[in-house]
Amino acid sequence: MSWLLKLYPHGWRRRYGAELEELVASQPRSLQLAIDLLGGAIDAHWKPQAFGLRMESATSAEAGGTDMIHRLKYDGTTARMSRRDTWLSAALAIGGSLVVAAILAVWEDPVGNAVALVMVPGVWLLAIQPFYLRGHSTVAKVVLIGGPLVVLAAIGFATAYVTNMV
Amino acid sequence: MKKTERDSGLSDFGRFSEPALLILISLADGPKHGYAMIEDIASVAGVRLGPGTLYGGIARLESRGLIEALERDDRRNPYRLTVTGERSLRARLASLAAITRVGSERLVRA
Repeated sequence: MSWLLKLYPHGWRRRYGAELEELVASQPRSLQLAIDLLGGAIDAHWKPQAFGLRMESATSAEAGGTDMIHRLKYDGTTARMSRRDTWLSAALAIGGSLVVAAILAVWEDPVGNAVALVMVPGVWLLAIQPFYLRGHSTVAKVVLIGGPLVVLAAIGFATAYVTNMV
Repeated sequence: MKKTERDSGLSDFGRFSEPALLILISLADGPKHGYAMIEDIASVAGVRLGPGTLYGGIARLESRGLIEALERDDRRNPYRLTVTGERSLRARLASLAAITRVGSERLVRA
């Protein structure tokens, strides 16, 4: 079960990893434990400011958007967003949205609609990846992006299947 | 939620505000490491915190300076309340006591 700790951010693991691993090893394996750790990992990625993340200045916080993200620092490890990251993120968001629109226009049946609709959050998951999961392990990226994508795809296809049945 | 004068600093912990309060209560009678906190909270409040939830709370409290880590004992870090943490806990408990008193009085009148 300790492998789930790899999903936590590097800085977080450096600070709490060893003691959390020790604690996890003392707990019986269970689905509840896995969900708890997964929730903790998502929380640590989602709200890093809760764990000592600081802004360089109030002005940068007020600036919002990418400037704010650019200035985020966590535990001495900078999470800086380069110009390339900004363009990559924008290209994924805009390009992905265009692909979704094209699918909706061309593929006119319930399956096509379902695929296009589940792709919308999928596109945004991919678009935040260049800055939000930057510096994290491939395993963390695959699980945190691939996991929700698989769930979304499953929901989409199940919906399409049910719609076709009806 | 609007902050009050009695704000303990836990109001913006979201779903971690209850675990954070339980952690502060657990540390009120002396330093403890993670496992001891889980056991203590289970016996006091009947709630068994998962390791992910516990460390979510610990990390938040430590980043706010409400608790601090002591010297590492093997791979385990004991934590203790800071002065700010003790003050925060007192404020939170006073607030809860006031709410409890009002609720009880209203139930008596009902």
